[in-house]
Amino acid sequence: MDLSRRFSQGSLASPPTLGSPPTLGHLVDMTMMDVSATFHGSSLRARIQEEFGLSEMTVGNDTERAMSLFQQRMESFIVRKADVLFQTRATSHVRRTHAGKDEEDYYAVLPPLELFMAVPILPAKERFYKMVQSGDIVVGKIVSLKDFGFFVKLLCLTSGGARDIQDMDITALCPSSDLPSHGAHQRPIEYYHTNDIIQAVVKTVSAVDDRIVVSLKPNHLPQLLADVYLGIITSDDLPVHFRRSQDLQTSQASYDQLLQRVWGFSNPSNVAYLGEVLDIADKHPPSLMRGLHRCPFPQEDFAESLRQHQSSKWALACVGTGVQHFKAGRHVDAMQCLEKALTFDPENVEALVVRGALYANKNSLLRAMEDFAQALKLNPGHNNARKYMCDTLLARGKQLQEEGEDEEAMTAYQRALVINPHLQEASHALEQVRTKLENMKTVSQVDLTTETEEVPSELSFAQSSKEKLQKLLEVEGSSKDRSRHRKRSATEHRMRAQAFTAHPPAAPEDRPRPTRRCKPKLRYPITGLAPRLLLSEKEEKKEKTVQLKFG
Amino acid sequence: MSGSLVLDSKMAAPTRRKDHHTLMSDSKTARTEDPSRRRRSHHDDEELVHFRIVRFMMESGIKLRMTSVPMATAAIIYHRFFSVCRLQDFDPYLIGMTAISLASKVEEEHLKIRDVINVCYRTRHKDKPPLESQTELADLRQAMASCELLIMRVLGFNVTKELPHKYLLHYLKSLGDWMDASVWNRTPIRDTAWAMLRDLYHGKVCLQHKAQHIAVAVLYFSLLCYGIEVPLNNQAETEWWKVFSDDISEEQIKNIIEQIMDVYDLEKRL
Repeated sequence: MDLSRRFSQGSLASPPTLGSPPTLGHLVDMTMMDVSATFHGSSLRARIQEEFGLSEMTVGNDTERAMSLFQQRMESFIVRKADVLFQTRATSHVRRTHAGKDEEDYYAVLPPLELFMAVPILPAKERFYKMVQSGDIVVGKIVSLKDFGFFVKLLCLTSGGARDIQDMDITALCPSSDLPSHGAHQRPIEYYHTNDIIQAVVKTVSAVDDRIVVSLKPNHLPQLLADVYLGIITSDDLPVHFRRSQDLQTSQASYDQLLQRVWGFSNPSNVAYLGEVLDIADKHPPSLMRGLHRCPFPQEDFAESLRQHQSSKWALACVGTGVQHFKAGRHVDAMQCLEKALTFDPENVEALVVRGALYANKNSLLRAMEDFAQALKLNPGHNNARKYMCDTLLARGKQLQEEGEDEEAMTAYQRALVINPHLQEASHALEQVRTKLENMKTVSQVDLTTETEEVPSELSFAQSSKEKLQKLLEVEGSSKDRSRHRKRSATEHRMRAQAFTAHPPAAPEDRPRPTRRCKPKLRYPITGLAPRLLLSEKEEKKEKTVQLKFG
Repeated sequence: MSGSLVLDSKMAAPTRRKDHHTLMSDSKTARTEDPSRRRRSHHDDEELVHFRIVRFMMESGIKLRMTSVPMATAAIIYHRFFSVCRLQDFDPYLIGMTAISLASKVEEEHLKIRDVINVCYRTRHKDKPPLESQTELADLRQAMASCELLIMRVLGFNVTKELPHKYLLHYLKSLGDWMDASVWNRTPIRDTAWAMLRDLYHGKVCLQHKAQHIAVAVLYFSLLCYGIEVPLNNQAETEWWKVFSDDISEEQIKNIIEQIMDVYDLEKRL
């Protein structure tokens, strides 16, 4: 075959220039085109040659067709769409299913087409012998038992599709060697009787003398159907299409009528299932239109990426207004904006960083660190995130040191150093803590009972956290203090003095107790962990109320 | 049913407000102004416009990862709407976009409205940046909601129609079992038939024939293109296409095929 193919890279990839015929690239399957040309006749062949400048294609036996208007249109269509129609592609294999009970309702399983078409038996039989291959699974009825095996009259095929062979009188042999043994006492052949229905796999087919040998041993099964049962089956286990073809003999329904009647036809997912079985890719839907042929759309125009793009734009806008609020001191509004931004786009790095900064300013260091950690996970190179993370870790370290958790403070400083190895403050603090820990170790080894010495540190801790709390709640706290310790006017002082002299103060027991609204005094003993825990819990609770109120 | 509904342009007002013109085609306004164009056949022009809109719908459908069946339903809704209403009264792109969203609900392959609007806006206005303004999104959402009700009323709340896809797949399965395995696997008859079925929705062929007839015609067309013959067809009592749909004749099949080829010709004129 002497073919000259014009290689053109641009024609198929470039946007459709409709009007000029596309030139054939090297992506066309010549055999397919040949088949089509043979079918339609020499005029189509001539036109293809003319259109694409191919020299001498194999001139086979071209059928001469009457040149009707329809035929002409057909030929122009084929020529125009030749590059799409005859494009080389990987062979798509129809999924070789076993017609088992599971498939029954996935789609409408109907009797084989040839039954409806009523093809003459002899040519069909010839064809069957050509088409059947080893590995096909057949169902047959035992007709005669012999010493060397038994003969089976084939009823139908159950794998690779329906096939009507019942009337063809095809007998196959199943030799004794291919029968599995069913017990030590009997020969395998004695297990079977005439008129048993068995399911077997085709072992060999000899085309010359039309002999088929089947086997009941599973080792002859093909890979894909390795778990199919071979042996005696009941009439219930006969494949659906066979049973339906039996019904068809009596009912004489048409294909369409049968289709409407079968339940599997109304299964809404039969389209998806059959599409998968027939290997028609609906994910990249095929098309013969020039504009849709090769799915020429960029990935960023697809739904998911457009949505993501839009979400991040909205999130950034919110972050912008949030930062403005923050700078103007309106932390409440800033936090609101940030929360909104993060509902639009939960993985927005900028929003996480700004929210982390807001948390850090409010002294919710743990939450701040969570946000920064996530921001750094999404974008490890974000400068602001790293800077803020380091600062927060240092602050956290100091906080832990004040609480006495020196080891945890150390880990915090170490983490800061991991992010930014050049941070001097961190390394100094780390050194401090390390030496302190070593000192403490030596000290504790010398002096074990220093309970009283713990007292002042705890009290001072209590004092410092109380101060922090007050700083946090400047607005709320001060108003409360004011209500509790409001400035008494001069007249009020006089009145109180008079009252005091008139009525001496009552016994301590009778003194009115402070109302619940005041902060309860420390009632727990100083030693032990309880006060520390209590206060830190309270601190967290206060923070939470702050957030809830403003967020 | 739809004849009893009287539609005048006032009812169309919600879809024609100024701020909903974001999807309006610019070429349409140019067309009505040019007097010489009016002399040309109205019918042809309309066919082209519809082709363009359905192409827009197909593109959006691919980007929304819609499967063939909801896509076909959307196209049918669109064609049925404009077989009743006039093209000048409505923004066809908006109708197209709403048809997509409606079809996804009908066929139970739900799409988020935000995605539909984003993709359709982007497909329509390739030169503008993708939709960012929340107000515009809200406007379009509003337009789509009223448009959806409008379409439902025009179609008499009857938006389902039996589609050829199921039939085609069953025919392919039955035929495939009978054909030679090597030929069936090697020649892309199935893909081409499916492609033709998808493509014919660009025109009004889909409305004019029964689902089974379209399926048979598409399969016949596909086999014809590749020059494949069904084995023993000439010796059988009933030909294969007669088996699948017994009330069709070869003439009818050829008619449908010619109409499908007309749809492909429309693309050439775009």
